[in-house]
Amino acid sequence: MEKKRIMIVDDEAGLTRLVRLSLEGTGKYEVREENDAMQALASALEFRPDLILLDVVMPDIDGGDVAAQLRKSGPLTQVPIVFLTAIVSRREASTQDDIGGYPFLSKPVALDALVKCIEDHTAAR
Amino acid sequence: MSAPVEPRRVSERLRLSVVTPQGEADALLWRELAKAGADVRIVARLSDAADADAVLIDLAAGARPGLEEIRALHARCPTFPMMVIASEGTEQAALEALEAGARDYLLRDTIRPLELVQAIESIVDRGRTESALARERMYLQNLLENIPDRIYFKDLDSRFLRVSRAMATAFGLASPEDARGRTDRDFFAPEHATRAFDDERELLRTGQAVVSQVEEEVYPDGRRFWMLTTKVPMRDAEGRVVGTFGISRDVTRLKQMEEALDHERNLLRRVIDNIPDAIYVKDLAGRYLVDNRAHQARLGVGGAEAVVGQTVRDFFPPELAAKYLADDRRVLDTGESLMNLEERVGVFGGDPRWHLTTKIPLRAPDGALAGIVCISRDIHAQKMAEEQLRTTNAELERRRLELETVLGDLQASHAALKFAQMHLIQAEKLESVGRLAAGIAHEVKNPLATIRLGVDFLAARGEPMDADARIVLREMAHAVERSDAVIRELLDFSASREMELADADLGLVVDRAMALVRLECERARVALKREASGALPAVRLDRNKAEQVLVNLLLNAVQAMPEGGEVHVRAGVSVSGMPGVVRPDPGDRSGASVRAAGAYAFVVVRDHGPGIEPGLLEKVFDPFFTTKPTGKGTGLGLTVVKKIMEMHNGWITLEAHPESGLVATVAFPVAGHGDAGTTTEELPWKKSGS
Repeated sequence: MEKKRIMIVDDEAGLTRLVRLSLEGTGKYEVREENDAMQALASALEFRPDLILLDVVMPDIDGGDVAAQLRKSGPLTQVPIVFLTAIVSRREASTQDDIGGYPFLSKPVALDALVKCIEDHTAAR
Repeated sequence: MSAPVEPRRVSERLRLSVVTPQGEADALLWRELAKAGADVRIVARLSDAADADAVLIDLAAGARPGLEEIRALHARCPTFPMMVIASEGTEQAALEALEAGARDYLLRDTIRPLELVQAIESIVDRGRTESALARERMYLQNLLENIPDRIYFKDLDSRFLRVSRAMATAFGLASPEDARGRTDRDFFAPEHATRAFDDERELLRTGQAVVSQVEEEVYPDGRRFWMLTTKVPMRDAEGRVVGTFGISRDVTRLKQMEEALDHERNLLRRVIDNIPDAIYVKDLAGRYLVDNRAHQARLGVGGAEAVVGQTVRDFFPPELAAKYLADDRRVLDTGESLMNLEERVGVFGGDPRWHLTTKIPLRAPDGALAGIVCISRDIHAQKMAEEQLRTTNAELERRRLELETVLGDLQASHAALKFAQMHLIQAEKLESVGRLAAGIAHEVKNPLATIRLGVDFLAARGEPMDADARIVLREMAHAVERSDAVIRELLDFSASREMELADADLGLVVDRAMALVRLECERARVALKREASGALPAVRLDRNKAEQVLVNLLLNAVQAMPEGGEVHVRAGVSVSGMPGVVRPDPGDRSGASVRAAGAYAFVVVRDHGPGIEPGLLEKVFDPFFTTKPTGKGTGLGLTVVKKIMEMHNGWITLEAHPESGLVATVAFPVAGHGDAGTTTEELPWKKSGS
């Protein structure tokens, strides 16, 4: 079975490294870390991920803008994007799966929740 | 011995055979006969008298042919002269020979050679003539008896002299003899007989034969026949006309066939002339053999005469003619048809037009190629329409592609816009929770995320781990969760004091809050029960914050029953004092605790958990106060709820019964009755319970 390709865009290198180690440790994923949001588009075009985890609050450019770029890029128009966000209230965490229609995960996130979210939003291989 | 075929020519010598004993061969008589002009041959027996014109049987000299021999010969050739030469003593034998068939007997002594020869000659000639006559008669008889055609001979008065059997039968006569002396009038219808008679008169007058005329014969009973007739004047040996004779053949069937053929030919002609397609046939050399009106029109001529025998070169310019000839050539060389070829064809009096042409090789009955048959249809109009359609389609296709590109662009822009929107949502969020709270949340949650994933990572590693290590990791995970919960509550707590007020149906707000926590309830195996409320008046509230309140209460209720259970929700209206159960906060000097009596819309949330000890009820709204086990609650929830209710000029009360759980009540002023938009008045209120 082919491994799904996951790209994580977040300025926290410690976090992205752990995401990569955790996901690749399951044997089901191949993960690309991108800590510079300005490079996210180029990286994505090269890596061609099956799903992108996107931090919202980043220096220089926020997740929403990165997502907009990705959506206009032709080959990546259809790739599922999941936001990782720190700014979520108790109410939102309990009652919502999306912000403005986009799926999100609130930090901190447990590995099994992360895996479930990835599987929910990508096609089976 | 055969019958002589031809009359003896005058110059020929009479051939005479003489049957006489050998010894008499040199007799004077024979020499004298020879001198008289005969070729004499002496034979011993009658049967040796071959090829002679006549035979002399010399009885006088002692020849004694058998009578049967004589009889047989006579029977075979009745005209063959046999003469007997007798003498005294042989008369009896001579008479017997005569009876057997000999013609005459002569006395030897009185024979005069010259006269004998002449006599024999004349007998022979007559015999020959008679034979010839018999022969001629045989020919005529055969002809008249057997030929199916009608043959007749008439005299100058048009009376039948002789007719053939076929004619006799046609006339209904038993024998041809019965026609003798009768005329046409006896056999045919009057007008026909008259016509025939007149024709014969004319014939006799002019002496001109009428050859192979087709005329109609009419019988008295009305039957009509077509006859192919030849009538000729009959001449005698001197050339004088002595009558007429003729021969007729019944060609009625032939004529009918001819008429049918003609009819069919006319029909076919009419058909091909009516067909609007050009039809024509050419021979192997490319000359037109047959064509139809449509083809003639195309060439601009009036009739077939202008076309037959001509070739394409006579009608078309060289390049076109060459092309047509090449097509013809291809058909003839391959023997295969050229089907449905679309081509531009020259048309007389106009520009070339598109035609659909089919050329087929024409074969003779034995299969050999004999020419080409062609049919060609004018499809100019359809072709023009086709091309128009093609152009239009190409144009449409081009537009479609353009539109698709534009659509693609629009879709991309739309997606971009939606994301920009999300950006705004986040920006709003940042505004609402305040920069500080947002900053804290962000700066704390990110490290927490790292720790969380790190814990999971370590736990998931394949290496064997001792129980203590496993416990440690679990505790670390819990610690992260607690911290996370605190930060969340902090965000709630820091929420902006700005309210978006609008008239709302509290029942709907309750519905929405219940829907939001449904999943959580299912997970905790808690059943949410809503009791009917009846109509609720409009309430002015901030929907989001009101939902937040209700969600908080509901989640608290769910978390109070870890083993599952039921939560009851009820909404209603109260119009006089409220069953307040909470003593006003002594530290609160704002007077907001003094409630205005009036109309309130309220929601009651009741669970069956352990409730809260009465002594702790007043602490419940303090920040960070919680009765939940460590790690489960943060203690900010109710603090926030209370703040929101105060902002609405409403309030919250809690009733605790250890046996029956907690009852939480929130109340919003009804619109126009001291709600959040109006100033509060201090009014006495009654406290019940404690």
